[in-house]
Amino acid sequence: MEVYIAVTVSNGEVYHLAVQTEFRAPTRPNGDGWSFDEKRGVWLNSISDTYIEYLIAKNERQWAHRRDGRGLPAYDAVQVVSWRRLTQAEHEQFNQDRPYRNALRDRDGRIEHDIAAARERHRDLLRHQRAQAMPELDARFMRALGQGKKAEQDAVETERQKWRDAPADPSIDAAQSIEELKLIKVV
Amino acid sequence: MLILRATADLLRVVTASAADIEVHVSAMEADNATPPVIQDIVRVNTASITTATTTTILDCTTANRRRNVKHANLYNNHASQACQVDVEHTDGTTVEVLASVNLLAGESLVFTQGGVWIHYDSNGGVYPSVGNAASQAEMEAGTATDKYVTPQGVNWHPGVLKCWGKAAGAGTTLHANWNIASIADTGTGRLGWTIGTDFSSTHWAATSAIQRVSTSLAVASVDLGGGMFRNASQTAAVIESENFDETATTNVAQDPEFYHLQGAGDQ
Repeated sequence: MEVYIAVTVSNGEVYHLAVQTEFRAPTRPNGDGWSFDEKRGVWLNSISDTYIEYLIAKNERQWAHRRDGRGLPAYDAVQVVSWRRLTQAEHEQFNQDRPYRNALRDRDGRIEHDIAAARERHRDLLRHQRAQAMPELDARFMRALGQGKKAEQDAVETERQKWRDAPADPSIDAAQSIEELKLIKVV
Repeated sequence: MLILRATADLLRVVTASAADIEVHVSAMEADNATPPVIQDIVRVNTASITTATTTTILDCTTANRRRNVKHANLYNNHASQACQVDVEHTDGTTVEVLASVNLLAGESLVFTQGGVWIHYDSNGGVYPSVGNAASQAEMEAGTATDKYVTPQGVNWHPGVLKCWGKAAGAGTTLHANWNIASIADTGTGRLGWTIGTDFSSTHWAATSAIQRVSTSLAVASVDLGGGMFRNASQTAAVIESENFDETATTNVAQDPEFYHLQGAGDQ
């Protein structure tokens, strides 16, 4: 069994914790509220607020000290702003539309996508797809160039330009939902 | 052999809780003539002991008599209550504990004619000795050759995993684990693990693996997260796995099918 927790952090993102109500361990686990079921050989916890805050504090010590090991400025180091328990339906939201996962926010008691963040995420996805498509297009262009096939060169170049323009597609800014964003494709 | 030889000598039982301890003693009684003459063959059934108390189970009140205990039997007849039982001998001045046993419900402690104390479980089986079990320090040293390993002790050996887990690629469900208290989905392609009983320092050996989503070897379908942890993510209690593809310019974070973690070190 798991208890699901949403943790909002200082950059606005929401983290999802799956807290175990029982598990096997050699000794009493850290934190409050543990009892041992001798028959089943498992440690049990009713997951009190105190225990949740203990677990979050454990994680926050790591989240707050993220850094670049090569001496560059710290990146995505965050502090905990708030937390709450998730319903099963809210938990399931974290399993859906995973490419847009980082755009999820916990606002006014609802788990929802921040559309501005989702648009940026969609642009990243298009850039990612472009990076996959371009090597093959470049190869086709060079072959057409070598063979003197101007029409084919133009066709490939048109396709390459579509990819270059894709992240700037105004329909991305016009999209108001994840579903609308998913419809914006190059091919 | 267990002797009571003066009128002040007593054989007693100290019960630490309100169980139902039934006691029987068989003994031979002789006088102090030369040679001794057998006077009686004694058997004493003590009324059930149902409180935390001290109870005399055999005395030697007749002058110039000696009693030689041949057999003593203590049985916990309670349905559920365990009871710490001490059998002690007193000469009227000095009290010596002869045996000290925690009798669970249905268990018994027997003193045999040969002078041996035997602790039986509720099925009549003899308790094995636990005197030579390896301690935590001995397990962590891993060098003793004259100790045996208990199920709990296995965990303390340096060569044994102290935690492991398998989580969904979305990072939202932990499917199986040992000593993992929670997982954290902190973003696409990232999974935090929180350990139940922490390591003693940040320096423990972690092994990460992922199961790929796809069987394709296209760069966008290749997961590079096997063995990857996020920089500065390891503490004594927490570590964060990462997964990403192999596309050009900048690899992109993506969820695998499953994350796996193994951790070894000192707790």
